[in-house]
Amino acid sequence: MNLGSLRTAGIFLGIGLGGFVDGIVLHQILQLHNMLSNRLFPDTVVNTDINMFWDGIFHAFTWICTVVGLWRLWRVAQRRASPLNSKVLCGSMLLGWGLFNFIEGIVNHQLLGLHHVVQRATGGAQMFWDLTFLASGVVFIAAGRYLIQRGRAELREEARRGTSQRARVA
Amino acid sequence: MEPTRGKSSLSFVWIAGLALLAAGSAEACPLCHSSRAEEVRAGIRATAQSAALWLGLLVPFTAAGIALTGASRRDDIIEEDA
Repeated sequence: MNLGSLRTAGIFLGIGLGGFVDGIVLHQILQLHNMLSNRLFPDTVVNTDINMFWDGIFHAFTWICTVVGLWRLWRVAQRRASPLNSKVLCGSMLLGWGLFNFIEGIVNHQLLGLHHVVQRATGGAQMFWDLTFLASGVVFIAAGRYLIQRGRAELREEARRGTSQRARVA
Repeated sequence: MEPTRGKSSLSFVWIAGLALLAAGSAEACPLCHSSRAEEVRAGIRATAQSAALWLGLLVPFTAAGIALTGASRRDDIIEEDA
């Protein structure tokens, strides 16, 4: 049994859906974390429009990742020999989300300085929210790895007992 | 005959819907129809030339994708037990 395909699907879905959570909750509802807000602070309509355009490009990438993840998951579901396990899928999604948040935080907030999580905050508060964002990435990665290990243990046990639902269907 | 007619009606609804959406978007689009359209377009053109912006957009997705190669390696849970 091969878990790699399910993990790949989950990680793609995690990157895509995590990006949507970022875009919907932070960018749109709370109006934070806009793509170019450290270069063009969105305090005028023109700057807001330009930030919104680049936020849209970011969303286009997250949409592509979500579609790829769905396609990969569909391929796994079609193959009867491929194991399906909720913990492995959810863990992989958390892993993808966390990995993306961590890399995005390091690259965009710390190295390139394109934006910060809370742009309007100053000094220590700005750094606090950036570090919280990075920490969320680390927590998601750890939680994802833990869930994947639990799922693998479950599948190993099912395989040992010969009680895998997928195996029975096949 | 019936299923074919149903299929073409559905296609018509899809095409009409998409055309309406495109027309509505073009009408509402601040890049085409607003007093600040030229300023916004110039801003987008200027920012699009920033290498940092493209790095910021592409690197997180690409780096996470590279990490996938590690995750998608063969993961044989039964063979491990043997």
